[in-house]
Amino acid sequence: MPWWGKYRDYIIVGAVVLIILILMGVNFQGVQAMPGMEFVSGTLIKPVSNSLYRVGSKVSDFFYFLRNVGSVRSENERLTAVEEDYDSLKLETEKLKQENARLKGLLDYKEASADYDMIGARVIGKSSGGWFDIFAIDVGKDSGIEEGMAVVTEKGLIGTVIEVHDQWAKVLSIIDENSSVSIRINRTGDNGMLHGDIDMKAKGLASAIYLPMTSNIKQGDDAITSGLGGVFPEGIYIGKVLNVENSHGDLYKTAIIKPNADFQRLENVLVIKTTHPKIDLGEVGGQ
Amino acid sequence: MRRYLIILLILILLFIVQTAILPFLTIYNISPDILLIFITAYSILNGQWEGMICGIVAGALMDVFYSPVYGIYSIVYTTIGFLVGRFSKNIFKENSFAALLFTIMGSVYKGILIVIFKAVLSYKTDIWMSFLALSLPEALLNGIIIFLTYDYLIRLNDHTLLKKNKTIF
Repeated sequence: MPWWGKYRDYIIVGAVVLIILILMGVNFQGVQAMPGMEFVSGTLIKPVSNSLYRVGSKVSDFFYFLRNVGSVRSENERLTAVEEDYDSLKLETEKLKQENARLKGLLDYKEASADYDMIGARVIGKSSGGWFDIFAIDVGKDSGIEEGMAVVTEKGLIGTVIEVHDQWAKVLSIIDENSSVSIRINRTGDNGMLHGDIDMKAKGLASAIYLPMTSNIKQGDDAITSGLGGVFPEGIYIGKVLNVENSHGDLYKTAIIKPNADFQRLENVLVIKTTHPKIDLGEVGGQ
Repeated sequence: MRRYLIILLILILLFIVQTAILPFLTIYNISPDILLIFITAYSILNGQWEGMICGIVAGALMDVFYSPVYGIYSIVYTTIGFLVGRFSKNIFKENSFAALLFTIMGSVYKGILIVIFKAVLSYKTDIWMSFLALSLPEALLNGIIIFLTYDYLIRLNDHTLLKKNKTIF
């Protein structure tokens, strides 16, 4: 038996791992070019996963309802009270809207952000186990989805498209550790950066860092996307500030943000098809 | 041939259940890894090479859909399939306790590898939190599940539909 006979098995498995590492290096293009990959993922797995996800969602909704059935009465009372406020607010908004339009007309003001072009999508599956926070949606290149588009629900921002296939796309949610979103606190106008965190993720929270020391943000303030960096459009709602940490000796404030969207029970989402052109730093820097 | 087609279908089904049903059942982000459980049991019962191929297929499915770059789950599952088959050569294969131990070790190993990958990919991750909040609870959950289902997995492995034969069907 030659010298390597003893280690033959380990050499084989080492070679397999090496091949995977090489595939990792060529990453996306390499995997996509694999024959039949699009067919298997888009045509075979997607529909089954999609329908099973619906089943899981229905079952989850049922238990969610059972858990919250006790609070329905108090919720109802609260909503009735809110509705009374709503009527008067609606009138006031209407009045302000007209006034705003009239003043804009006087100033010849151009609308900065036109309405977003959006497309509806359904979640077909989600990474389980909390190692990564990635989910797949059932629209892809065929529907005009591109990398870097923002994904929202009616409640607020949930993520960004990181990989596009023919019939589906991969979305990184904003509470993943690898995600960073440039945000603004709506009331004070302070800019910051929203980051995922491994133990906050379990509670559906994320932390906002790099908030200026001089800002007076407090609990209950609203966080929206700032549009800086050119990834997300400006003004998408994210969530409320839950807590502000002001550790001694830091140069920045850190806030804990509770995103409004429920990341545990995602079902129907919207992809904003308006992307911002990336700023060419070479031109801006004059180099 | 029929055997391997059925195993492939089982793997795809487990993958879909893991990513479409289990996310709704998680508590504090902890959910069992049923692909890892199946690979461990399969590898104990059928040896390192079949275990490794099982791992390559399951890893490819997870990587294509739910990993930030291709390869993380592939390497985890492939090496688990191989190593479990390798080190379980001389044990009594029908023992649920052995399967439990291998699953717990495999889950912890998965946690270590993923944390290393996250460090390489420059994730801002908290290593101790990853172990305490994710890896250990998941390992315990996986252990409990394989302990309860191992007898059924052995019966499935010996099922007449899964007989090894030379013909196509």
